[in-house]
Amino acid sequence: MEEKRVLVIGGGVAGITSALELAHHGKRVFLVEKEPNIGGHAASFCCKAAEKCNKCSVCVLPEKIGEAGAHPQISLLTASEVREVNGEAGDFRVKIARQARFVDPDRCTACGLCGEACPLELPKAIHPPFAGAVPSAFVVDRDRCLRFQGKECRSCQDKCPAGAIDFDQTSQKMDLEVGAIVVATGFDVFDAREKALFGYGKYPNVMTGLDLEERFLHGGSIFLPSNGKPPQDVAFIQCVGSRDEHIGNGYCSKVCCKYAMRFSRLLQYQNPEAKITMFYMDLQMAGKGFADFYEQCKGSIRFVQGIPVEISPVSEDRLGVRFEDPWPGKISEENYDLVVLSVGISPRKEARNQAKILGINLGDFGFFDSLNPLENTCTNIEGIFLAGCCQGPKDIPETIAHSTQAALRVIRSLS
Amino acid sequence: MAEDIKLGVYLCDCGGTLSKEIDFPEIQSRLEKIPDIKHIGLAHSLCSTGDLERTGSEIGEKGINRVVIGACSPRLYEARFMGAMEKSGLNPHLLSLANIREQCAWVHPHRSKATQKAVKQLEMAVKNARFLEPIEGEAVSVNRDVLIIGGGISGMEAALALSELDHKVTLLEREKVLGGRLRDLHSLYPLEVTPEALLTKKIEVLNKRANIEVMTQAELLKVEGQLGNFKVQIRAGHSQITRSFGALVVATGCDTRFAKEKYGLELSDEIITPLQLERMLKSSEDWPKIPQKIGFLLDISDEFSRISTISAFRNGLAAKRRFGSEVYIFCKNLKLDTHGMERIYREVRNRGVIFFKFGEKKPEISRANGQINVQLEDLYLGKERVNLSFDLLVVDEQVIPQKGFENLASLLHIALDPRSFYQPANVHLYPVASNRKGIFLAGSCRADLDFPDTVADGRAAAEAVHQLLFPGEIWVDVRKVMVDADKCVLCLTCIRSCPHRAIEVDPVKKAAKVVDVACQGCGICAGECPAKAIQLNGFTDQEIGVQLEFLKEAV
Repeated sequence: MEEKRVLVIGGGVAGITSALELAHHGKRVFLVEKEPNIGGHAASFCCKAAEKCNKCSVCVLPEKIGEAGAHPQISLLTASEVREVNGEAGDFRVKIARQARFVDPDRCTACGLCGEACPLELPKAIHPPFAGAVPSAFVVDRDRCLRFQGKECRSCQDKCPAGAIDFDQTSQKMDLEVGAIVVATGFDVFDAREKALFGYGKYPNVMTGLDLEERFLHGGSIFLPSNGKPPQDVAFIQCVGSRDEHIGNGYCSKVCCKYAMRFSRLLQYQNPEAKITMFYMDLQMAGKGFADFYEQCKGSIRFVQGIPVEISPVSEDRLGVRFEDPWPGKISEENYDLVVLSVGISPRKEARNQAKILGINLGDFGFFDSLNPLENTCTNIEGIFLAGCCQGPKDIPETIAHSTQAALRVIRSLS
Repeated sequence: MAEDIKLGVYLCDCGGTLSKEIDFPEIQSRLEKIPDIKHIGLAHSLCSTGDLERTGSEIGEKGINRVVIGACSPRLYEARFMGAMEKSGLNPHLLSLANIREQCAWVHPHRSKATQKAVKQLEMAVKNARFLEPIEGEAVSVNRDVLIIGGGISGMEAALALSELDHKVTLLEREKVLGGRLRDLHSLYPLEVTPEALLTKKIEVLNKRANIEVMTQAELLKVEGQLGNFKVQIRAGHSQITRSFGALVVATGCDTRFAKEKYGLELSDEIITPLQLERMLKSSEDWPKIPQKIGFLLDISDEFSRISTISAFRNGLAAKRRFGSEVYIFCKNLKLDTHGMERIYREVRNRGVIFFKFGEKKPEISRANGQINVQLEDLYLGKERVNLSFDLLVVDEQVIPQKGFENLASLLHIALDPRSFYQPANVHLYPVASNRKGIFLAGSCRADLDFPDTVADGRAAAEAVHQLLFPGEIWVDVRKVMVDADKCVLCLTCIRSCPHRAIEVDPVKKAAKVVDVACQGCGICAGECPAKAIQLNGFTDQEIGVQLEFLKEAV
């Protein structure tokens, strides 16, 4: 190989950061992402600034996405997955499967004519991905597109001036030779339905932290699903899917205390009348600047040390939350109109399979195992490195730091 | 200006989402009346690769020499737009951006008024654009040697990483030996490696590396210059040395302090700090009295410390193993947000350490018959008060900045945060960078980090240094700030107010001079200069003036 090539698996914050670091050092990078666009979970997160910035660090992403998309040393392989890895450090042979996406990202200029041509009512079956997405190529919604409902339609394909749309496209295979691999496959958001007693999916006014992220991102504010009014009495329940050995997640997800407090500030900024209660086990408020943030929150949020056991509806718009009030130490039930489940970080469901493909070890809870705590980007296989939440829960700054370090290890291993 | 102004205006409706709030055809027809505008383009997503390429080629074809963009906040995609201009051959600083999304469409519900405002914003941007001047860049060569201040674990780790990356490193340590706080620890639980073994190995490797020079009992006397060429005076032992470095890494660590005022009691033989206990556990000497019962208090000196939790776990287990003592830990919130801590917490409990949690009411501590009595209300036991006596009570400590931090901060002109730790340039993106280019921060001198994170931080700082220095030269924008030597009276206000130490005195012109390598274009000097001798390119008084003048008439 004339040049040192690196494969980065996963196009979220971790993968993008590693790819950019490597590219800055002149390495040729292939960034594989299974979705049609890079950005990962953080692309669906919202800014949590209230009267001032609450330092959630979501805003660092768009710039990084754009930079990765435009960098001449980085090749994006979106809608692609790694199927096979052979070889050893310095000489890995990788087989990649590229799904048919029907719109060629290299040709599509995002002019929007295809959307206009689509005969469907809004939302159209071919549309731009989220604002600022990379690549900016339009995506086909297979659930709506007539072609996938067994009907004949070529409206968009015929209209496209760039010839970027091709419904005959099939999935393709691709072989790559690389010197090192960075695994940055990220995490799954915990599925709150697993905690059946909280009634997520059953009661409309029970939402998760992720629901809040998406609603704030797209609508700028939160309204109750049951009646469309702004929430007045809000409960945040922490550690949903974290620190819970019963469901196999015996670890702290690190991010939930902080995001719940940021959301609380945001909700109260938009509606100063809103009353907010946070049910928690232990507040994780160490970390730079967070002590002061917690001090600010103390006056406006009621903190209750104890996790509720059950949520049940008391009327159409109100939910009863049953919990043990530690001071004075009795069982209570209180009514709220919105309950937010602070869902945590779970390992990827595909992690086991990915570990098998890569030959790397899986750790305690289903995250990839690092060599030791002082070499937490290295794996049991030389030349394969870990970056970000696939190794264990991390917030965005930590993910950036970890991925930067993974890139450094790659550079060292290639030199 | 000699050349004719040819303006290109590009509007973006953000995938169609802004056309509900703003009437784009109306804007277009209003702008068409303005002379000098050679082209008006409307895009659905100007930030997309396709639209950017199209815009770039249009700029080239139509000979546009000033660009006005009406789109989202410049914080999002300004860099992308500038990149497209550069590709088309136009100086990227000839761009004026009007934020018609966050500052207009998103905040105004009335369509016609919002449209009017967007037109005004764009007209202001057009006024501004006429006065824009290109800012050119040039390559400046940099010294690749690095000075690391502090020989604790993060400093040593940074030195090792940098030497591997082929930098010459000088490692400065105030004490006689390297190792910092690590030397006091008896174990690194849950890591298996002992602190001695780790230190011995690291020091051995450090000494073997030909490109690392260790100076002990050394201190920094004076620092001049900037990124790429810092001139540093060091006292090492009895000799004074002057050297040049391309970058500096501050890795001075932290200190701890027993908050007497929060406890309302004094330390004694029975009430000790975690560090005292670490040292006692580390020494092989026999203890005067075997403690049967040990209590650890957390969250009183410092409610936010991560390291006190792990140190209580580590010391509690060690005491149990060594003396078979009963161990109790009292806390408010367990800090378990580091990798693997929940597991460790469970292990500590399984080994018989008993935990109590108190709320807002602090435990009451009293002495009786050589024993220490702790009384509290526990979270789970409610009103029933817990009353326990201990042979030894270990109190928690506040994490505070290292001795001499003020001196070092003023020598290096780096900023401190509200708790007097060094302040990173950006806690998310550049946690190891300081406010000054070329000066980096590593380890617990910048934030409360646990041991693995401290080690990682040293490496991260090394990586940041390497990325900056490895090409041997850096590309800097010149003339971001212009000084009018005739107006400058050398009052030194700019030199005092510049957070980046980017202003010097030009002895020939007898005026302030901006050092382009260090200047970050923040504009503080331009704002502060009482003689109005300093102008920030792109934000000159003239440029701001015409916009304000226009606004005054318009309103």
